[in-house]
Formats: sequence, structure tokens, C-alpha cells
Amino acid sequence: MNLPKQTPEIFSILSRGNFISSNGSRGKLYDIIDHEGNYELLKEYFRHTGYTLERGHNYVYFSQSDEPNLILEKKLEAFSYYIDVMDFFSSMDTKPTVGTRYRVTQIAEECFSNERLKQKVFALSRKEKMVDKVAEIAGDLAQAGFFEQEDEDTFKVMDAIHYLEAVISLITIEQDGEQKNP
Amino acid sequence: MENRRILNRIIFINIANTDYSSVEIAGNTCFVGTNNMGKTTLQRAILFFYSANTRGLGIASSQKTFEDYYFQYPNSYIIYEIAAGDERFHVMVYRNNKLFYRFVENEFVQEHYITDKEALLPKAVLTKFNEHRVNYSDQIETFERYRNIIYGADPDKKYKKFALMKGNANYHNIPLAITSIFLSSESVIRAEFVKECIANSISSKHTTIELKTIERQLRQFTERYHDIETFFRKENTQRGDLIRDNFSHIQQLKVKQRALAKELGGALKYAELQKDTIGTQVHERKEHLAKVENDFRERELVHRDENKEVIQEIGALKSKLKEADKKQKEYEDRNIADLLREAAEKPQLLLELQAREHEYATLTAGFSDIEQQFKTLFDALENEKKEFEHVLNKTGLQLDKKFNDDKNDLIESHRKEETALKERHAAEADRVRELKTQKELERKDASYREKEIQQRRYFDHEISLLKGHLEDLAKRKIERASALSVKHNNVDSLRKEGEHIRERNRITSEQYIEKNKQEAAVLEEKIKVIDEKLSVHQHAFFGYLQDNYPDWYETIGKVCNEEILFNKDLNPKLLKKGVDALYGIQLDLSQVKVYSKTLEEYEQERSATREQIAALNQAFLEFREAQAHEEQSKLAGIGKKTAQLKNEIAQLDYEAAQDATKEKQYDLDFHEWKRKGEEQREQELVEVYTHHDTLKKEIATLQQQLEELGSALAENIKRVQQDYNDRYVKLKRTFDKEAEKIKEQRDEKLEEFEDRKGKLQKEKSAVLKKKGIDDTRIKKLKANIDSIRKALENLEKNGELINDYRKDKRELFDRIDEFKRDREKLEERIKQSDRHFEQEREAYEKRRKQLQEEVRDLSESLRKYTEGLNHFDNHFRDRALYDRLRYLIEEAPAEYADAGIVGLCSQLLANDTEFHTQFDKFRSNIAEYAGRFRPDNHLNFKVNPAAGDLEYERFAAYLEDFHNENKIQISIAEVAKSHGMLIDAIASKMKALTEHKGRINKMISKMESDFSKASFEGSRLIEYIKLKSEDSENKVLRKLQRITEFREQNPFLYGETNLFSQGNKAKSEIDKRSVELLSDLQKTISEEHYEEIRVQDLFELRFRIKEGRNDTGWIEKIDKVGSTGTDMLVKAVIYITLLNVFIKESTEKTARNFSVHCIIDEVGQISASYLKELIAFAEERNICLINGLPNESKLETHYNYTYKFRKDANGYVKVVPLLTMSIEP
Repeated sequence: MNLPKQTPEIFSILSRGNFISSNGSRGKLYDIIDHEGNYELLKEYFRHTGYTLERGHNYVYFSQSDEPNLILEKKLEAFSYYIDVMDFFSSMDTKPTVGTRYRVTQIAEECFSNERLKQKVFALSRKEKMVDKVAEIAGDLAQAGFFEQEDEDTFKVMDAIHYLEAVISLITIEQDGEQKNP
Repeated sequence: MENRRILNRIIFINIANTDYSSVEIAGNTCFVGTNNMGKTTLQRAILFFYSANTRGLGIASSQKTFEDYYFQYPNSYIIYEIAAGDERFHVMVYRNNKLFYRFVENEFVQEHYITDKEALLPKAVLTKFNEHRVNYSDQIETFERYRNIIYGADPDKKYKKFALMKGNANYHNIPLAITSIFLSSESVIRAEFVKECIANSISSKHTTIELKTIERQLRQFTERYHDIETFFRKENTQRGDLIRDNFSHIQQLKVKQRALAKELGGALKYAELQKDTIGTQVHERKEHLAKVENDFRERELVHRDENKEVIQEIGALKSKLKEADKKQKEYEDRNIADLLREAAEKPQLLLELQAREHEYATLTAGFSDIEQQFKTLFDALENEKKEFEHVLNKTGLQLDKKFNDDKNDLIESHRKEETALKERHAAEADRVRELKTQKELERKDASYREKEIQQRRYFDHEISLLKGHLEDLAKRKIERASALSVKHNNVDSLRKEGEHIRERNRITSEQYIEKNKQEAAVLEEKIKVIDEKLSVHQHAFFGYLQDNYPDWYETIGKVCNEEILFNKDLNPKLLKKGVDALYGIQLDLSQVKVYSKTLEEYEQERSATREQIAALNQAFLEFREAQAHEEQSKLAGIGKKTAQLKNEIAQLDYEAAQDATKEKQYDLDFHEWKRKGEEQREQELVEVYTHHDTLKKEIATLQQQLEELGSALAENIKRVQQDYNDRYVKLKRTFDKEAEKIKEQRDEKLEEFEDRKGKLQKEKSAVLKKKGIDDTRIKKLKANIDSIRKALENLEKNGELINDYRKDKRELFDRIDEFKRDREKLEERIKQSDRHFEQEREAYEKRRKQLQEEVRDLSESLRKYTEGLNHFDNHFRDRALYDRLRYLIEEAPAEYADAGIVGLCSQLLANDTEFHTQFDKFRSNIAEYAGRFRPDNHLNFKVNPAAGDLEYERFAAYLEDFHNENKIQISIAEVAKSHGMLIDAIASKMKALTEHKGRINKMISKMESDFSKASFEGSRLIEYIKLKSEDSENKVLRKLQRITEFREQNPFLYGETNLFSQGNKAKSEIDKRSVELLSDLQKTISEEHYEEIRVQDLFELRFRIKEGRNDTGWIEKIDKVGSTGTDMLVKAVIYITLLNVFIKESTEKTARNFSVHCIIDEVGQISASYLKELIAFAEERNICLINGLPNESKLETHYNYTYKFRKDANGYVKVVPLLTMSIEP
């Protein structure tokens, strides 16, 4: 079986740490990866590059087994931020389920009317205007591939959000000894 | 050249910085002037004559507009005077807000415009014309109209006289070329420019393909296609189904919720009512119970009191018996029997004592008279005997009396005892009988109860309720079955109707396609014929006539058919010009129609035929769409009805499932209640039977008791009789014994008296015989008297004891039996009373238990209702769910609910939780579903999360309608139509465009041949200028070509109504390929940023110039050829050649008696000789050069007219002619 002709495009997206989600503008690429034996073929092909092609629910990404500690630390740092961002979005009336479309202005309005959200958004962004704050946060998620910006004001939740959810669900909060035995 | 038409003169009146200047330019003209003197202004004005376009004059956007710069005053005029042989006319251009033209049939006369050195206003000028009877045209208001007039293309014949040339539809190339030469004379000559000129010369603007429009249509198409593709994606289809399932589930949950809410409302009201009713009942029952308890306690007290008295009596009897026992023992200890016996002997002892004392006194009284003595003794003895007999009789009588008394007592006692026994028996028998009667009554009751139990219908209410439910269900089942069958039939008939519509449409479609195909084939054939004609026309008789015989249409065209005209083997030769005869015969052909057609007519016919084909295609696509629309609208109605029916069927199925569950439950409940009823019946029957048996046994026992009592009575009577007999016998025996004893005593005494009498007789006889006295006897008497006295004393001493004994015997000892009987009687009475009370207690306990059970049952019900109400108040009323359902709960009428309030609340909460869980899933599914479509997708799958839950339900309803009405078919049809139309439009436009290819090549070859003449034979400056065309490199064009090829390969296979059907693999591949092609095209268009595809994009043009030793090779643009002068020269040659070719192409061959100007500024660097050659080169082609020079040099001598630009004292530019008519023409 031949490699799909989009393989270089797929590689260039994934190797930058991005996701390919089925419901995004790169949905066609996902369809190609998902098509018949392509996933296994590509996985085997990319294995030689040091990347492992991983598949989640309707999304794919690259993983690396050996990564320098510095990068890992950065990733962890980023994740702690994403967790806060997810917490923010999950506190909204409309939860961040796959396919949900958020309008920045609408989120900003909700933040104005909801003190809890307001506090969260203030903790997440230092921008002055509420709209800019929201745009920054949504933009960060879009940058990471969990959201996709459809137009200036609209962001859509990608299938890759499942990855974030899966990672968050793996986190176990352990109580320290002191708290256990006060 | 006498009739040559040329722009003869240009006059400025108040134009720019010129007050007045008149410049004759009817030949090669040179303007000399330093910079900023107005050379370009004048040249631009000349250009404006040809182009009549204020925008294409090379005026920078930062500069004033043409109108503002040139026409600063209302009396500003540019006048173009045109020479037509000896005649002159002029065009006046003036401004009244915008620019206007007027053609004036007269040469320019200054006085008409200027009076007293003052330019007149246009009205005044017209007045002047009128005064001088100068004809002038109407005001020409548009540049286009002006150009049409000037280039002889205006349909209005009255303007024909003002035409500079007789141009065809492509005359636009001439002003374009003149403008381009003026604008780009100093820059690079690009192949693009030449291509553009070629294109303009052979086509109109309509042949260009507007990529913006196509791109927009493509974008619309691909977006729509993508929407439909997304719609058909497997996961979306599945999710769509899921959403519809979710929606239906949610609807069902809502229905259930409403039903539960109503039920709860009913249950609450019922509970409120029951709470009061049951509360009252409980209160009544409790009061009744308390009364029953009190009554029983009182009765218990009475019973205790009654028993207490009897017990006291028994106690008294017991103490009496105890005292009797004690006293009897005391008496026995004191030998009361001996004492009594001794006391019984007292009278005898007293008699004995009296007798002995008398005897003693007699014996001691003296021995006097022995006879007397003995007589006395005999008398005494007789007296004693009499006394003894008297005593004995008395004793006998006493004994007899005692016997009779005892006998009477015995009889009395016996009688009493017997009576008591009988009484006791009668009482007991009565009691037992009463008990027996009671038991028999109870047995009868039990039998009745048994019958009643046998006939009783247990849990009748519940069972009849369930029966009612089951009957309702059965009734509903039948109704539903018939409704279902009707609906299924309806669905079937709708399906058939749908199939029928589809089939009919398919047949219609096939017929239409066939007809369309045939028509198209006919038209294609027609095109083929025209193409064949056009391909051979140059080498046929037709071509010969075109080239050599002007107006042949009017003569030969009327007598030759097309077969002759397009015959290549005729070898025509012109023998004699101007002879209008057919083989020597003159014919009047004025009434004969022309057979042949011009090339344009053939082309037009071909285009028209193509348009017909396009129209057929269009009609086909429209037919398809219309058919799809019609089919969809019909099927939508059917689909809607079917969906409604299916919904109803689903609802009925759901109801059936629910009813089946209910039926099962009711059936189970029904059997359970029946089982419970039978169980209870059995239990009660067992109880009744047991009770019956018990009663039977008890009755038998009572009967036995009665019998036993009878026999006991008989026995007791017998025993009493026996006792009486025994006692009587004993009494008789004692009496007999006493009587015997008395008799014996009497006999003994009588014997003793006889003895004594005998002895006395003997003694008397002895005394008398002896007369002596014996003292032993006295002594013996004395001792006898003493012992009797002692015995009597003892008797006297124990007399009180005996009396006491006798009293006690009379009061106690003799009544012991009586006491015992009384005690037994009393004890029996207590027992009987206790038994009686025990029965009462049993009845009380039973009643109390029954009441307590009733109270418990009622309390349990009350508790249930109260708990339910409390539960509702504490756990439901405060919830948002209640507020939501309040309108249902509060409106519901009171009704009993099996599930109870708590159960209903729990069910409602569970339903609500389930609803929310399902709704969350539903929302996620919709978000994911809608998220897969573009935000502004044409299927309108959009959801606004801010609009709340109803928005999601609206979406689901919309989706359901969409599916039911199969609305996707409309989209598919529309997309298929736009797909077909796009391909058709592209193909037809491409065809129209590529048709020009032959003419392009022809034109290029013409140009090349013209270039070959520009080799400056004299100087041999340019060895050659070559031109060649290559295939286009335009990527968009290539894609367009591929689409066209595809269209030709698949004339009828694409553009089917459904682009998405997977049934026909070959068709599906073709569809896929066509969509890919369109998608590729769209991508390329957006990547390449072209706005349109024009004729010039069909080919690439390459130049090759050899100048001296310089050979440029095949190049795309001519940048620098040799030195600046050479370069300019070469470019000028190319431009002039181009202009020449364009003029040839754009004007009628028979009317080429005109000259145009070619304006090339700044030609100072061209050497005089080359300039001379250039002028000559231009002149050969009827082109006059207008050049600009910064300084005076010898160059100007080569021109017909040379002008110098100066400024006067007022700063006005003055154009001064330096030389008129060249010395060296």
C-alpha cells in the first residue's frame, strides 16, 4: 500500500505538536489517516522519525518517548494552564463539548454577569479588556489545537479536547501526610 | 490619397495653461519644448481624440483629473478638426459638469468660438453656428458613442460622415494600441501587452471568463458539496440518528414526566382528602376502642368484686372447717368419746346410787322388822325395777326419739344434699347447655361464614380495578392494533406512492434525456458541419471570393450554393472585373436571397448553435432541478405524512410496549391479588374449619359434660342415697345396738332383779331362819355407793366440756360436710364466673384486636398519606422541578395512585435525573453534529448555545423534519444543478475562448510577416524580429481545459440529480472526479489570484530580435535591445507593426483611406537616419508619428510639422510652428 500523498502535510502539522481533529478544517486529513490501513501505515512510517502516531477519539497526534526534562517541564506548565482554562470553560453555561462554538463577545458578556467566571478570567489573562482576555485564552487553546478559530469572534471546540479531558482525568490529587494526620 | 481622412488639426481654447493654440498635425509631427512646457498635455489631448477615455491617459492619481486639468472654465474647448479629403469637419469637446462632444460640419473657424478675444460659452458657440448656418450634431454624451462615431461603428447613418475610418466590432484595439504605445513607449514591451492587443483585436469583452464569479460559484458549490458530504458522513448519519433517538427519548420522558406530574397532583389531592377522612375514622375507632377497654375494665372490676365475696365466703367456710378440725382434734385429745359414753351412763349411775343408798339405809335402818324389811326390800326392789323400767323406757323413748330425730335429720340432710346436687347439676347443666347452644350458634355462624367465605370475592376492589385496567388495555390493544394496521397500510400506500412518483420521474427523466440527447446531437452535427466549412474556407472558393471579390455576397453569393462555395477544387481565376454576369448572362438578382453567409454569420450560427446546446444543457439541468424539486416536494409531503404516521406508529408501539408492561404488571398483580385472595380464603376457611372443628369438639365436650353431669348427678344422688342409706343403716344399727343394749340392760337388770328378788327371798328366808345380821354386805354397798359417787363427780367435772363438745358438734362437727359442700359450691361458682368472664375477655380481646387492627390499618394508611404529603413538602416542593410542573400538579383532579406520593416523587426525580442525563447527551450530540458543519452551512444546521435548551429541541425538530421531508434531496439537486451548470458554463466559455485560437495564430503570423518588413533594409539595423506562440502556462486555464475535456468525455454522465449516490460505481467515480476537478480549480484560482481568463491567457508569446550581433533569443519581454536609441527604435517598430496589424484587423479592407497618429514621446536619442527610416516605416502603414523632443535638433527636420512650445508674458503656453511641411519629407 502506498503512503497517502498528504503525508508530508500530516507530518508538518503533527511534528509541530499540533493535533489533527476530524471536526476541524483539517478534517479531510483526519479522514485520510483514518482511511482503511492508513493509520498503521503512517504509524510505521513515522516511527523512523522518532515520533509515534497516536490516535484518540476522532483525533491524532505525535508522541515522543524520550523528551528532555526541560520540554517535559514546559509541557507540564502548559498543562497546568490548560487545566485552569478548561476549568474556566467548564464553569460556563455552555460546556466545552466537541463541536461547541464559542463567541468571544458572548463569553465576555457571561464573564461580566458571573463573578466566579470573572475571577477566573482575571487569573488567566492580564489583558486589559475582557474581550481581549477571553480572546487570549481561547486563542491559547486554538494554538494548542483544542479549539479552532473559525472567524474573528468564533472558536470551535475540536475533537482533540478529549485529549485534554483524558489527561485531566488521569490526574490524581493526593493528600499529603500532614493533612491526613493533622 | 486625396480622400484620406486624418486628424488634421487640434485647437485648444482655454485648455490647461493655454489660452489659445491651433496645431496642425495632418502628418508626422514633432513637438519641441523643454520640460513642463505642455508637450505631453498636447500629446495627451491628441490621444484623447483616439481613446476618448479620461482614465487611460497616463494621468497619475495624485494629479488633477483630465476634466479638471484641461477644462478649467466653462468656455474651455478642445477642437479636433478632421480632414476628409478636401472637406473638413470638427469635433468640439466641452465641459458642462461632464464632457460632451458635438460634431460640426464645418472646418474650425475661430470666430465661431472667440469673439473679442473672449471664448464663447457652448450655447453662444451654437448660436454662432446657427447664425452661420453651420450644421452640427446633437450633443454626444458618452465616450462610447463618440468612439463608435469616430471609428464608424455607430448604427446611426447620419453620423457616418463623421467617421475617421470604417471599423468593425474590434476597432477598440486601435485606440488601445495608440494609448499603449503612448503610455509604454519607454518601458519594457511585454508579451502580455501584445497578447492583450491580439486578444482585443479578435474578441470582445464577453469572451473573458470572470474567475471571480466562477470562484464564487465554485466556492458556493464546494461549500455546499462539503455540507452535503458532511451530512452523509457515516458518523454524522449515526449521530443524526442518535439525536433523533435522543429527542424521541426526551419527548417520551417529558410525556412520562407530565403523566407522573398529573398523577402526583391527583395523588396529593387524594391524600389530602383521605388524610381528613382517615383521620376521622382513626379517631372514631380509637374512641370506640377506648370505650370497649373501659367497659371491659369495669366488667372486670365487677367480676373481681363478685368473686371477692364468694372467696370471702369460701374463706369463712374454710376457717370453720379448719376450726372444726382443730376442735375435733382437741376433743379427741381429751377422750371425748369416753367422756360421752360415761355421761350417757349418768342416769343409771344416779339410779344405782339412789338404789344403793336406799339399800344401805335399809340395811343400816335396823333389822326390825325383817318382814317389813324384806317387804320393803321387795317393794324397793320392785320400785327399783319399775323405776329401772321407767328409766329404761325413758331411755328407750329417748333413744327412739333420738333415732327418729337422727333419721329425720338424715332424711332432711339427704334431701337437702340431693336438692343441692340437683340444683348444682341444673346450674351446671344449664351453663353447659347454654355454652353448647352458644357453640352451636357459633358453629352455625362458622358454617355461614364458611359459605360466605366460599362465596366471597377477595380484594374485589383491587381485582375489579385491575380487571378494569386489563379490560381497558385489551380494548386499547384492539383499537391500537386496528389503528396500527391502518397506519401501516397508509405507510405502505405512501411508500408505493413515493415509489410511483420516483418511477414516473425516472421514466420522464429518461425520456427527457433521450430527447435532449437527440436534439444536442443534431446541433453538434450542425456545429461540426460549420466547423468543417470554416476549416476549409480559406482554401475554397469562399476564401478566394473573400480575398478578391468585394461584395460577392450580393452577386455570386446569390447564385452559388454552399457546396460550390466550399469546394476546394474549383481553381477560381478573375478574368474581368466589374462584370455582373453569370457565364455571360445578366441576371436581376435584387429579388433573390443570398445563399451564402459571411464568416461572421457562420461563426454567429455556430455560436448560436452552441448556445442552443448550452440552452439544452441548461434546460436539462433545470429540468433535473425542477424535477428534483417537484419530486422532493411531493416526496416531502409523503415523507412528512410517513414520518407522522411512523411517529404515530412509534407512539403506538411505545404505548403498546408500555401497555404490555402494564398488562404484564396488572396481570401479575391480578394473579397476585387472586392468589392473595385464595390464600386468604384458604386461611380463613382453615380458620373457620379449625373453629368449626373446635366448636364441634367443644359441643361434643359440652354434650359429654352434660352427659357426665347427668351421670354425675345420678351417681351423686346415688352416692348421697347410698350415703344416706349407710348413715341410716349406721344410725339404725347404733339405735338397734342401743336398743339391744337397753334390752340387754333391761334383761340383765330384770334378771338381776329376779336374782336379787330370789336372793332376798332366800335372805328373808335365811334371816328369817337365822335372824342374824351380816355387815359384809353393808360394807360392800358402801364401797359401791362411793365408786358411783366418784363416777358422778367425774361426770359433773367434765360436764362443761361435754356441753361444749355437744355445742361444737352441733354447730361445727355435724356441719363439716355442709361446709365442704358449700365451699365446693362456691368454688364452682367462682370457676363458673371465671369461665364466663374468660369468655367475655376472649370476646373483648377479639373485638379489641379487631379494632386495634382497624386503627393500625387506618393509621398505616394515614401515615402513608401523611408521610407522602410531608415528603412532598420537604423533598419536592422546594425543587425547581416542582415549579416547572406546578401547572400540571395543581390542576390535576384527585385520584388514587398505586405508586403513592413518595413513589411518584421518586419517579419524577428519577425521571428528571434521567431527563437531564439524556439532555446532556442530547446537547453534546447536537453540538458535535452541528460542529461538523460549517458555521454558515446552507443546510442551516446551526445551534445557538446561548438560546438555551429550547434551541437544541428546535434543532432536533428541524433535523427530524429535514430527514422526514428528505430536504437533503433539494440541496443535492441544487448542488447537482450548480455542478452541471458550472461545468457547462466553464466548458462553453472555454470553447468560446479557444475558438479564437486559430485567429490568434493567424494574427501572429500576420504580425510576423509585418515584422519581416521592418528590417530597415537601408541600414540593416534590425536583422529580424520574430514572434511565436506557445501553449499557455496559465494554471487556471489548464484546470479549465481539463474540466472542458472532462465535459466532452462525459457529456451526459455527470450532473445527475444525485452526486452522492453510491449505487453506480462508474458514475460515482465520474462524480468524484468532476468534483475534484472543480475543487482543484477553485484552489488554483485562489492560489493564483487571477481575476479572469482572457483570450490572451490561451497562449504564451515569445519574441526574438536580432539587432546587429545581438540576438535576444526567445524572450517574453523586450527589455533592452542594444543602446537606448536602438532600443527605442526597435520598440517603435514593434508598436507601429502592432498598430498596423490591428488597424488591418479592425477595419474593412475596402475602406482603408485614413491615417492615424502614433504618439511616441521623447525620441531624441534615435539617430536621424534611423528616425527617417522609422518615419518612412510608419508612413508605409498610413501611420503618422507624433514625437516629442526636449530640444531643437536636426531631427525635427524629418517631420511634416514641427512646433515649439513657449510661454508668453501672461504665462500662457504658445505653440509656435517652426517649419511647415518638411523640407525632407
